Amino acid sequence: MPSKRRRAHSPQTVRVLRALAADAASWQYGYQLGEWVGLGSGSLYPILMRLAEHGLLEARWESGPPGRPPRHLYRLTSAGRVEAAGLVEPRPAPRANLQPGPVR
Amino acid sequence: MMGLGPIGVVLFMLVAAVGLQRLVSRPRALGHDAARTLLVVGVRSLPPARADWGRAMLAELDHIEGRWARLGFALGCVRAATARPPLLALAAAATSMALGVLVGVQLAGPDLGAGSRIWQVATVVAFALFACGALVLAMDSGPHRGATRRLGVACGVTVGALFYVHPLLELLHPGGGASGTNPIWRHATR
Repeated sequence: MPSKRRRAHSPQTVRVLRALAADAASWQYGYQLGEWVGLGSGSLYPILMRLAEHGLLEARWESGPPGRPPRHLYRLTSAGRVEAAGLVEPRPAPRANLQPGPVR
Repeated sequence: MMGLGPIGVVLFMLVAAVGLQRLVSRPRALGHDAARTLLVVGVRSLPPARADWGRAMLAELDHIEGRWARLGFALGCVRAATARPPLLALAAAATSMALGVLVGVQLAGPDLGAGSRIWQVATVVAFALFACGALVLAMDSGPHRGATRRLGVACGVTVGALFYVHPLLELLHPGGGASGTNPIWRHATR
């Protein structure tokens, strides 16, 4: 599905995109990805669903060893890689101990 | 317990002991099943277009170790599967709150006295809230409409059933005053 004009990604979505883009060729498990980016399943899966619906993420079923149920695997599509590459660096958080200096 | 008689008491204790022993001897299995059962029920509310995501969540759960990790994962997935747009979430919240008030008034009715005006008003407001919430849910046309409409219809059926449960309660507790505090039921069962 072609990427339509979307609202800016949430910080959590940016984290997921960056994590997937860090090793874009590899397929990732959902639970593992959630632990990696520090998101619970309640936040992670809606993000994955949205990314997939926007054509930024592809999913496939693992052909695992017999006896164990196959798992779902995820990685970025080429459009997803472009999207991740175009993400602007997050603005650094303001430092608490930063005092306003004299105006020169 | 006195009404059971000595044989009944022994039988009751025997059944309770066996049940307790099974619970204690298989705590992991109990936790394991709880997470899976929760998730199986939760993913049913996903729309058909997202059914594959439900299967993905269930498959992922099978690879997670630890009862609490599994339960946390299942709870999060249920939250993701049942998340609704703000209007529907508001309708669901209003409906469940109204149901709570209706049941609370029904249970507390005999203690509140038949002439308690505030509880009569609360019942009417809760009933109106319930009906509106159930209607909004039942008329959903979004991607989750299958499950949401079922929930709305179930809410409507529940409140309808309450009308018919009330006369039974009245029969069990004649003169208890429950109908006096519930004008809706009072009129419905007249």
